[in-house]
Amino acid sequence: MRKAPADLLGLGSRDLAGRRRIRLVMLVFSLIFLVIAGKLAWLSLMPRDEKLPAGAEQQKMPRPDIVDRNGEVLARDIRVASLYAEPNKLIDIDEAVELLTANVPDLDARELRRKLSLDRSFIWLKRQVSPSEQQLIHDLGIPGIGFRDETLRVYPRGRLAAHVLGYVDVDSHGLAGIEKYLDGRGALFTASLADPASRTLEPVQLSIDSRIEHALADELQKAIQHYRAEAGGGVVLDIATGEVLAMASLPDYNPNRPLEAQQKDAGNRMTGGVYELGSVIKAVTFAMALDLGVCDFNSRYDARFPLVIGHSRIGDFHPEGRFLTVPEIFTYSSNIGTAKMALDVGIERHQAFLRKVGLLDRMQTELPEAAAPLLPARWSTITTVTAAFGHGFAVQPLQGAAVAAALLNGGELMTPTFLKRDREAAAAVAVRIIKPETSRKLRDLFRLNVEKGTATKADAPGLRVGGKTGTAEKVINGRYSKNHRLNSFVGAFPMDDPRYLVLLMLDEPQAVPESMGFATAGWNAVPTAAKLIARIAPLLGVEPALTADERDKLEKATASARTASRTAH
Amino acid sequence: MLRVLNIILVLTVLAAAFTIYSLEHETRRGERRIAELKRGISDEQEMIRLLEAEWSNLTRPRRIEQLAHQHLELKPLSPLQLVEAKDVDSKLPLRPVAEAPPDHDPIADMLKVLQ
Repeated sequence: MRKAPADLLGLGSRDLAGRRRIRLVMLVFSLIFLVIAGKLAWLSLMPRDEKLPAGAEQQKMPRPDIVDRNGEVLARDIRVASLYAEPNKLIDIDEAVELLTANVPDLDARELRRKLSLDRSFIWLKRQVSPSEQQLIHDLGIPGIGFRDETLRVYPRGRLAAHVLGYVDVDSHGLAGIEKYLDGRGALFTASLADPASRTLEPVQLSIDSRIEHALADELQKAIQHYRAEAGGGVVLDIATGEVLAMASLPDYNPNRPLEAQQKDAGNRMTGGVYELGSVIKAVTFAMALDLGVCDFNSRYDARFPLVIGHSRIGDFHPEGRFLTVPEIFTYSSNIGTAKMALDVGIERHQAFLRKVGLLDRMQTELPEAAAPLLPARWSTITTVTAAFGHGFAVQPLQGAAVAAALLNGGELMTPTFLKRDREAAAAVAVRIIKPETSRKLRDLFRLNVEKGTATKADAPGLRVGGKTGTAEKVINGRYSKNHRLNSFVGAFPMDDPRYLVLLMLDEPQAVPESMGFATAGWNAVPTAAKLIARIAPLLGVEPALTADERDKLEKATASARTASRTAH
Repeated sequence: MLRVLNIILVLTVLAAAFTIYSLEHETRRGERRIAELKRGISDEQEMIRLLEAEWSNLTRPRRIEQLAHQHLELKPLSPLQLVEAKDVDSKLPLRPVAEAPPDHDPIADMLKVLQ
């Protein structure tokens, strides 16, 4: 016979209470299980919270690509493997050194042994190993040697726009140009390109046009060779938006090989250096005098005798020895006339105007290479006189281009930019410096100067070029030298409604046979600009409008070129 | 009664455990596949980026210009070559066009040669 279990345990009359307790325990357990089941159902049915774990956000964002205004890739990160060692995990140093040096010829045995003997847990052996080398080393199977993916910044177009792009160091830190801007002052801009949800980066779109950049660098290179100049530089600006379509400074470097950039003379002379721009600055003096109403096109100035101020004598390069009207002063590039106009304006107003157009302050574009202007310590009468024709103070050439653009675009000054921007964005940062009527008068002066002034060789057929030349004597050992010149040309086209501005600079060009011994800007910088403008105008969509004269001349030139090539064949 | 219930419960537990393990196994396999595909995608993307950079390198203006000089007879556009729409009829060069015989179809001939 079976005994009741309760009796066996001796619970007897407390049987009923025990059952209740069991029921209570069961209830509690089922409740707990219910809660767990509910939570599970909740977790699996509800959408997961998309927040990334804390570590993921700290992961370094990659560098954005840099593309030109048409979307062509100018800089990009690609993935490469780098070889590292963990010295304290190495078993046999000798074997490792032997195997590695036998298979990777450019590893130095002594250096490698030193590195592997260090008491460290991590050391780079070779950055950026090629895929075939990577496979080879991987197959050796040395313990404590491994690869880590790294990014390598490549500039597929080589030297093209090198000074705009800048370059990075081996750890992908920007060291110059836009690359430095993206890490430094432009960090906010860089961050705005990132899309955290998809972890992708929009590319940085520059205002540079690869084709125009190439044309500029190419023409400059040819000019430097032809005129045996030391260096050269140039910039092409969109007058309405202040965008830099092309900027070149020669000698340049290949950003894929940053060491080249540290060579002497490879610096960016368009923003990183300051130069006396010479007569190009006369345009500023004219704008000031015309805008303030000090003179008009019919005013005459006595240019018969050199201007004597204190110990200084201001003369003209080609003295006319008579009274000159204002347009004549411009086309003859008369120092005397320009100086007298500035004196009529007065020292204070002259200085204030130069400050208004930004020539007395450091201009800061996106590029970190921004040199401060070199200004005279004291501003006196002689300072105003020399500053009127661009001597005695030095600015970034790009600064000069920006001011010239403002003089011709209707009077609105805007800091040039290397990033693509539209007219609205440009208008938001524009500052009016002269009246639209004054700007119109300056267009006439610029065009007149190409039609019958110092810049006649700039006349690319049909493109209505207008411009001003500048020939500045370089300061050698603290004195102006007659034989060391910095020649420049600033011009715009088409002059009836200027859209693009070109500034060219040649450092110490020499006279060539066809220039009849002259080495002033009109004989080298100007013809170079004409070639450049004729080359880029079709790319920019500027339609040529030939006058009857130009058509005749061009037809004759084409015909003679054709017969020449026929006889050559 | 209770014993039957227990047996059923034990069997259910076994069945559930089996289902869960096979599900988990399948999930693991799926995850591995996802990781594989993701790696494949990222490799492809990296390759695209590399090839785009290569493309940019090959289409750099200096190289295109050299190639054009070597292989094409194209020259920079001269303003003389532009004709305004209103002058088209008077400026078009008049060149006698060889009239094809009426029973001849030049395009069909070309196609024949190609075939």
